[in-house]
Amino acid sequence: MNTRLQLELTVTLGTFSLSAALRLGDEPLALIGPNGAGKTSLLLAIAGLLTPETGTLSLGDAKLFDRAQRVDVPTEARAIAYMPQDDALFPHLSALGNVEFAVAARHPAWTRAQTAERAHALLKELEATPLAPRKPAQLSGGERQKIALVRALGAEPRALLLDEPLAALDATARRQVRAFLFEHVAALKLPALVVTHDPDDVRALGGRVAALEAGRVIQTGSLDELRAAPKSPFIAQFAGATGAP
Amino acid sequence: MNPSLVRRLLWLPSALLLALIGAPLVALLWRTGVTALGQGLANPLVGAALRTSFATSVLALVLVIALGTPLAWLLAHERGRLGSWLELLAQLPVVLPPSMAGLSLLLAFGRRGLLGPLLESLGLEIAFTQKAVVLAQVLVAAPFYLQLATAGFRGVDERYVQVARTLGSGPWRTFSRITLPLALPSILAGAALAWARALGEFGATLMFAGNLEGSTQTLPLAIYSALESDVRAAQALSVILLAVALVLLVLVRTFGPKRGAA
Repeated sequence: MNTRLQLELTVTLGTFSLSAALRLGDEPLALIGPNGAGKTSLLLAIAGLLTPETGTLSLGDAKLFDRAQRVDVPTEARAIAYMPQDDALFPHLSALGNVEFAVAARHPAWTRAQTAERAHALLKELEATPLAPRKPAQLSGGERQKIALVRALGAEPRALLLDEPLAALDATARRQVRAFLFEHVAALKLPALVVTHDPDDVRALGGRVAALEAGRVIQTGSLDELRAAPKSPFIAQFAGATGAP
Repeated sequence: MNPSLVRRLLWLPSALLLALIGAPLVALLWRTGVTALGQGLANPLVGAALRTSFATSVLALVLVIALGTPLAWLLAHERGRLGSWLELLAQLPVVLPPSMAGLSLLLAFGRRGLLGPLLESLGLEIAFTQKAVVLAQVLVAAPFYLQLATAGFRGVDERYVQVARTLGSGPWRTFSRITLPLALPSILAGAALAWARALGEFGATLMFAGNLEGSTQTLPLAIYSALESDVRAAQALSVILLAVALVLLVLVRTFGPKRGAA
């Protein structure tokens, strides 16, 4: 594996301590773990929205955080797009406006026409052109996730963080959006950390998993490896192992 | 008890209160009438007071927005004890008697006030000038703006700001494109209420700025003065203030934050 995103971070939140080390190549990694394990906190720390106590974070050749060397690149300069649990589309902007916002953030010198052209092209690429004029409130859950992904791509990120992107969808929508969303995410050839509670998501993402429990990464590997030798009851249950460890 | 009967019984005290609010307004409009309104408006007091009120209240509103918006943002994001103390201080003028506020303004900015010598060395005279009118209006109007603008900023989901920044948007661009538009209904409602309050300011202005025709005499002060000379002018001025207040209130309810929202 060619390591793109590498991190070793310790985040302290009140009495909770998160201490995680991960290496990602140009491919998705599913992040699993029980509620309260620190999954969202880890994403926020990688995005620069939470300041770690200690540690290092690098993306490609760029060092984004290094406590010892006092490096802390601000969120907006990290080029790591974050999709929170609820898609968080800007409610006052249309779907197109949401995408244009990201394109313009990446290319501040572009004219409005150039920005709109790129946004339209991205929407077309992800088969979302008919949604362009609609406000987020007029979109279905699946459509919102689609636009959220288009928006994230509009910022030309070098890494993606997705926090339970399918959690808000019903079973039918989840199947459709899963196929679409994760196929695109995998095709991006970017390091992508995807929080999920669903083994089907892991398979759709290519099968690599990191399991976080109580603020520690306790196991990484393929879904099959986890099933064969689960290191905790949670992992055993998640991977569908027959016997407890 | 029968719920519909309870409902009917509730109307009894409600109607009394509504009558108390409505009766003076009806009386004002009834007793003024179109003819007296025309005659009253012809009084030279009216034009001067209108100009003074408009000029001072617009300037006060500009100051309230320019100084109050940063403070509202800070109050919305300041957690802990300092934030709640600052908010208490900012809300204090709402419950203060205006005459007391006027006296305090004099004690602070008057010629013999706490800051008097400093202001004099700067060649600034505030008390009993239009500057004093503006200051009094800012003092009483700012809390209305602060309260709604703070609520507006608080109502903006932090995730929108976080996502905007991960998309490469810096703090200023995120504020102007995301936070501000989302808080705007509350901010505009606050500005409208603050302007209405500034226009209606009476007690603090009288104490701190005086009642000088053509200079510090605003609409409410002119009503007070006209009562002794020309009642029709007082009524005409009251009708104007009523109309402006109604328009502002309707604007707040139409474009302001939707019920149930922040």
